[in-house]
Amino acid sequence: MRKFFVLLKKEIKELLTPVMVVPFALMVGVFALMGQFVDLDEIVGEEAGETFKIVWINEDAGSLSKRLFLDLEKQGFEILEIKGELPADFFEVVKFARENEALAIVKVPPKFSTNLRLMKFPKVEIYNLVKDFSIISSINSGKVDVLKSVLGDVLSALLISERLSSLNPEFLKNPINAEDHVIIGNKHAKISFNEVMIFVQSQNTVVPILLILVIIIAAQMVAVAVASEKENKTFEILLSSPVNRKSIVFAKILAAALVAFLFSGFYMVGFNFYMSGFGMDFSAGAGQGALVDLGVVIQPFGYLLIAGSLFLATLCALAIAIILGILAEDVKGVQMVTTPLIILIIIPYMITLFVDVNSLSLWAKYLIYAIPFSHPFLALTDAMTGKENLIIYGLFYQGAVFLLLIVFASKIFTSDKVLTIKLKWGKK
Amino acid sequence: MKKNLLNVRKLVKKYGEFRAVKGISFEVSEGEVFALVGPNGAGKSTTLKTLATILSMTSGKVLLDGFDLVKDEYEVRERISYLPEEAGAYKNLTGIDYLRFMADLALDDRKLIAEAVEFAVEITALGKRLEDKIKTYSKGMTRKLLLARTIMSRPKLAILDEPTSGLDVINAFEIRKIIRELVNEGISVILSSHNMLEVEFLCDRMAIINEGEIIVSGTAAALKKKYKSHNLEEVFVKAVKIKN
Ligand SMILES: Nc1ncnc2c1ncn2[C@@H]1O[C@H](COP(=O)(O)OP(=O)(O)OP(=O)(O)O)[C@@H](O)[C@H]1O
Ligand SMILES: [Mg+2]
Repeated sequence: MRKFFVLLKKEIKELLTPVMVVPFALMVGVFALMGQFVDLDEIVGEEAGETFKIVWINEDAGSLSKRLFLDLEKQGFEILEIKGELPADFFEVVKFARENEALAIVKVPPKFSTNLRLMKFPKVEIYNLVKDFSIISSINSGKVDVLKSVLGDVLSALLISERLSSLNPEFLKNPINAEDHVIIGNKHAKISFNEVMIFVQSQNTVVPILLILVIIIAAQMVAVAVASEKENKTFEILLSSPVNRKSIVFAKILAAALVAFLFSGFYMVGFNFYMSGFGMDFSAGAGQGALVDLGVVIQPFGYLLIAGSLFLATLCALAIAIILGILAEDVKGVQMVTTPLIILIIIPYMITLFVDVNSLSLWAKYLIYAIPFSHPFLALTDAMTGKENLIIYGLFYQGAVFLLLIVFASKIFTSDKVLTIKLKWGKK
Repeated sequence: MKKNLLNVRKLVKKYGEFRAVKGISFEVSEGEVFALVGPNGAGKSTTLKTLATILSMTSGKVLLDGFDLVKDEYEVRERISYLPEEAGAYKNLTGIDYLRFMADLALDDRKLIAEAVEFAVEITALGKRLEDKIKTYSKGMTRKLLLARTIMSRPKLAILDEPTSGLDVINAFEIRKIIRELVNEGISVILSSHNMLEVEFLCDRMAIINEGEIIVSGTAAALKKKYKSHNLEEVFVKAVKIKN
């Protein structure tokens, strides 16, 4: 047992060399910084405090366009009207709009009111002033879309009150009071599906990235640990030393698992900084109660099960990777021999990302269940739909696969195959 | 008569269908230095790797200090120490950390571990350089470190595959001196070498091996007499030629 810890210490030391740590620390650092620099608080502030500025050109003499102007102002739009003669060059207007930081120019053509009353679908020109293609710009152009629907809304209210003055236009436009309910399994809550989906998606993007990351980093590390023993010619000395070969296998696996969890922890911290910079918050927020009622907010027990599933998936990946590491002649060869494993990890992720596994044909479903790396991804959905028992079966299955793999890996390590085995590429 | 330490009987090692070692037999006594010499590809390294328990033998029987190489693998490993032909050390460790790590693995008793590290430090004669990372060492420095590692735990049998290959005259000379001193401590050595001067200087007995078979074995004097030669190089050439 003492020798096991001696080995473990050495393995961890080898994994925590600057070559391994520095690129990782940089990545986390860059994420965190990016999140902080792209400080969207500014935009959020703009949304709340500053008004939406537009430049208004009215060539219509009728009354409806004037009332439209007033109603828009009432809605909180800040309108800069260009009065009198329009400059010959339209870009003079654009320049004016830009100087005043307006987001759009709205041009109401002549005979607008008349045509509207004749139900002739009069044209309104809306010029979206694009600065660039950043996220901020896309949020702003979204605001311009809001402007469009507000225009339609205001105008139909105006027309309704003109023609049917006895009726409430708000009622006519939307005569029912639709109440959203969502049912998942046998759980029910008063919330819109959209709200549920937004929350679930935020939960579903972060967690799988973490899962993928842990599994792949760990697998690569353990394969490198074995391959570098071969490359640096330290393996034969280690294997002839009076240490249990199983200790060697377990020390390498445990060291890689520990370091991978550590790295992923840092990664998550960086990633959270990044996301919070965008004003995205992964707590359930306002609809918390309803989301909890639905069971989509994963509870501690659910997280425990997911963590267990992740842990076992990582162990399975490690057991496979340590065997693959033996096949690699040197560290450069690791990338090649671990590629099939990484594909095997990414496929279930992709599948669970795009389709519901239960909608697949039976054999496809079993195939996915057979891959031990599918389970953490499936566990995520299962935990949100109250199928904890499925996760527990999965844990048993993963455990069994790991035992098989580790027995196989130990067998290779205790035989001389660990030194003589080679991938044969065709015939020599 | 000295006590017999290693007893090899009809050792066979196959790589797939290829028989690299074809049933060789020999003994090494306590405090003896025994050499395997032979042309490239003769099966020297294969034999030594099998004795070092990192290759499993195809057939035959080997006893070390009464322990069976196959059945009592762990006990055998506690009594041997192996220096491979091409060996390296963990490049990111310092020399001293490497010695500490290997001593921790080789021995169980704290006091023995400390003594072993101290002994190794002395043998390497690297002084302050032991505090540097191994990746900054020259080939000779690394080889000395590895040799010190091999013998620091005072194994019953040191298995050295070409201990001085690729070293300059002075380093090779020092390493030979160290090996010679080992014998005074009661450690037995089995080594392979292509250097007949080295073999003559170091070894009590030798075996000439070719294509996986031992052609002849004995003391240097006996072999010279048998082949009516003045030096071992001539013995080697004649022995291998006659066989072919
Ligand atoms: N891993 C292996 N797989 C297949 N054949 C091998 C392997 N290792 C060695 N051989 C073959 O076994 C034979 C003996 O090799 P070995 O390394 O024991 O020779 P050697 O006497 O140490 O030679 P050298 O003086 O060149 O070190 C050679 O023909 C070699 O090609
Ligand atoms: Mg050799």
